[in-house]
Amino acid sequence: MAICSFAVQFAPGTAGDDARFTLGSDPRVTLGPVAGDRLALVMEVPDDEGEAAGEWLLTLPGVLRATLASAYYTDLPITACPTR
Amino acid sequence: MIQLERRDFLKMSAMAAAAAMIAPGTAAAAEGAAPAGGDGLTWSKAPCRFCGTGCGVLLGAKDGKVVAMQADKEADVNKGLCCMKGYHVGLILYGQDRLTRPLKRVAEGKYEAISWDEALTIIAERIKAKPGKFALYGSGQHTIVEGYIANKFVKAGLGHNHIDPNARLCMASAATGYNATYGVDEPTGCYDDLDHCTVLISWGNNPAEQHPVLFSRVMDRRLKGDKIHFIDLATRRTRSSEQADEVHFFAPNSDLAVANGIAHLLVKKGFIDKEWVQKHFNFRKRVAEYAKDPAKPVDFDPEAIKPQNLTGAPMTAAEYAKAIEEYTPEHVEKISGVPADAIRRMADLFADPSQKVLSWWCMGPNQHTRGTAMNSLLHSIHHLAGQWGKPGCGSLSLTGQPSACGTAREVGTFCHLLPGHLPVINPKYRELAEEYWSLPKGRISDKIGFHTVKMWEEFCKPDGAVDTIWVQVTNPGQTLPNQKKLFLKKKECPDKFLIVSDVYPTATTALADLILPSAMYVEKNGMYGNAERKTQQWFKMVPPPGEARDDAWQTLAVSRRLFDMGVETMKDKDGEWIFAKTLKNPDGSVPEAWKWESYYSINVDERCFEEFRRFTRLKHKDLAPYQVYVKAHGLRWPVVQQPDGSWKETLWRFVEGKDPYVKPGAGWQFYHSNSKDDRAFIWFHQYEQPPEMPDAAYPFWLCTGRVIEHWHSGTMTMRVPPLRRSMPHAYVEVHPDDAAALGVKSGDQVVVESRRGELKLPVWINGRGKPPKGTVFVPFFDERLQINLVTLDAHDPFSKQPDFKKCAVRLRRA
Repeated sequence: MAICSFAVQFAPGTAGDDARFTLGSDPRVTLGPVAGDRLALVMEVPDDEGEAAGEWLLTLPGVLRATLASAYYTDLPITACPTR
Repeated sequence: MIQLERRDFLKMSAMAAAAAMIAPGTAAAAEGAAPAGGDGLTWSKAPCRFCGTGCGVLLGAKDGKVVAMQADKEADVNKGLCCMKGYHVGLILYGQDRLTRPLKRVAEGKYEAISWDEALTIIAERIKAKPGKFALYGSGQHTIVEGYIANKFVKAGLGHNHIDPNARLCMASAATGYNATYGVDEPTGCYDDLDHCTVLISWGNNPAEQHPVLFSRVMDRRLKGDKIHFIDLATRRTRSSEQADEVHFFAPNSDLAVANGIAHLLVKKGFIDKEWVQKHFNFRKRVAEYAKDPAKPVDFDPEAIKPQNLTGAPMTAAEYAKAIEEYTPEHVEKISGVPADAIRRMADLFADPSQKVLSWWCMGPNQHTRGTAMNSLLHSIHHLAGQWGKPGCGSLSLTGQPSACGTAREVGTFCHLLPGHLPVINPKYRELAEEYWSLPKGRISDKIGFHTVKMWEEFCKPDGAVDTIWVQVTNPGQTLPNQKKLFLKKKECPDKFLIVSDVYPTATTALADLILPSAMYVEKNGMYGNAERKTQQWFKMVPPPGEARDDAWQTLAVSRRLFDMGVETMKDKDGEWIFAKTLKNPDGSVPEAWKWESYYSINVDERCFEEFRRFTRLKHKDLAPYQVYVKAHGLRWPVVQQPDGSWKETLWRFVEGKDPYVKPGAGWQFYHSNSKDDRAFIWFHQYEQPPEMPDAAYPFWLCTGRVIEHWHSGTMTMRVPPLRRSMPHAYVEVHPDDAAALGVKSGDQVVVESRRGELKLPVWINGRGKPPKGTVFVPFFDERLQINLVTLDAHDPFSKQPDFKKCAVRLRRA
């Protein structure tokens, strides 16, 4: 499993609150500190799906932005990259 | 003391990185936030390997491999942000098929591994036999020092100028646009303008996909409550358009008319700041005659244009007003399709002193047979309106490669330049270069070398003037236009010899006679210069695989081999090897850097950079000493030493109080003025039809470009599984009405055919981008589906940059 962290910005009002609740209920997600309408979080995702996780965050109603902050690919089987 | 599992520790580090992004100081306050280090990884800074934005990243290495990355929150380019390509930057090193040994072609498609010694001998003998028929094709991905060594190798060591970078395909028109306007290249402003603008106009640009971090920087301001009016002038609807307040489609090539339409209204309505314009600008027009017959829009021979024509001919303000008169909003609408009311709104925004208008662009105005003209017009409308020279106002050209500015432009790896962006046709600069390089007088040729298109044309002709090309850090077998003519014809020229230094097999290595395995990115020391004049440095972090070696070493080793063979031009005026003085130890001894085992016994980058630095002062592009960049997270030139010994970067050029070279009291001073009077130019350039337009036989416009997942020819990103999975192959975007007329739906195969070639592609309707009716779009990242079989090799007469962005095609069901 790869470890990715994101800075997420929520929409004001109930949509943003609902998104926070959804994220808080997801076992892959660890919520971090909050600053205003922004939240830091860490996700554990299958080895090569960090980018997909970012896309998934953006599909949640109430999430305005999800910006990748870091990625640890320690466990990624790096020899598995496809060839021509 | 609580013992943390390693995985928990990594999670804390990751959380700290995210916390740092949501608010300053939050990282330290984050519960359990990990301190820097302690995770068993060695973290080092580097600029990202991909586009010209120059994002700072931190890469974590362990056991000789890059295993983690973070966006560098101390890098003011990206302020802790990173895009999806940047996130994967560490993985690009680890494709299964890295080249690890020199390979010699023995038969069609068959190679045998040879030693480095044998490879160097093959190259040296080939060059020694016909030095004048050798050319080096470099790159905006060359590090600064790789480019510097390659440039000196050709211009000092071979005595000709047949070196050109792939940046010719990328930003050459931006360079000629800046030179034609200010007498010196590169942006006058910087990314900080994005933090201050109130109006942002995107010209034929899709920053949401091509410069996502910079686009986020602006959109982030909106989310914080800033009002920014974003106008997207585009040839198709893109992800950038989704964020725009106004989206206007223009017919390909008609951007010149749109710029002229804005200028027309500024003049007609008296919106010009007359005092500012009179004091700081001269009006200028092109010297060449314009086409009289619209059916023959380009009636001049691009090769016949003289470099001095770049500065044009004077015209008075009254003549300018008269020339611009015909570009009424209605006339412009007729040419471009942009509504007349939209032209009026834009002119009003330019004229409003409470607004700060910023224009930005990338390949749209550059890959253009009128690229120099379009770039010059963009600067000119900002000059006319006074929307220039204040934070948030200006005209900012973005670049596509990480060191198109730092290497191709500043090191001058173009066939017409010397280091420091000094024109080779100027005898004063040749003499200085000969002095700095300790060369005998007259060594540097006064003849401009072969530019990219010409170089490959000559290479692909049996009796052409180029018979050997050494390609470094680029993939012309995919990225040159009109591939059949400019690359694949090599197959019909058995005597031609192609040397390719690369990290992976590519479309270019497929035709190579000799393949050299290169070290990549953080497998070597390096420096890049980004699109806002920022120079960044990094150190080697992990070893290259197998026998892969630095490109800089490869060039040094060939140069030394030629010297050892007695080639006179590889000697300086004292009979020493041309790089001996560059690399010399303080005690006068010369380290044997041409031997791989000794290459890293010294810091070759530092010694070459210090020699290069002398050149940069001649055009006020001063760079600081190498060691200053080791400590800094990038600095924008001119970097000037302060009385306290520190080094200060420059954010805005030619502006008093910001640029150290502007005289006190001048306000604004264009001290490299082409007219030698401290004034910049306001250009008039007439709209002309492009060299090829849709007609009855080829009824569609073809536009080409990029996608967010892949970088340029996909050599690196197509080997990263998630990126490849996200965008596995090229496609053709087709308007629903055009698709219906053809009887095709998304996923069906169509043949896209031009007068030069054809390509079968799957259709995508209402997909990533949405072209207007009559236009199709194809990205160029896919080696298996090469759209450059179809594109046009016509190029701008001044910049020699080809027009990849538009040509006429027809479609048929496959």
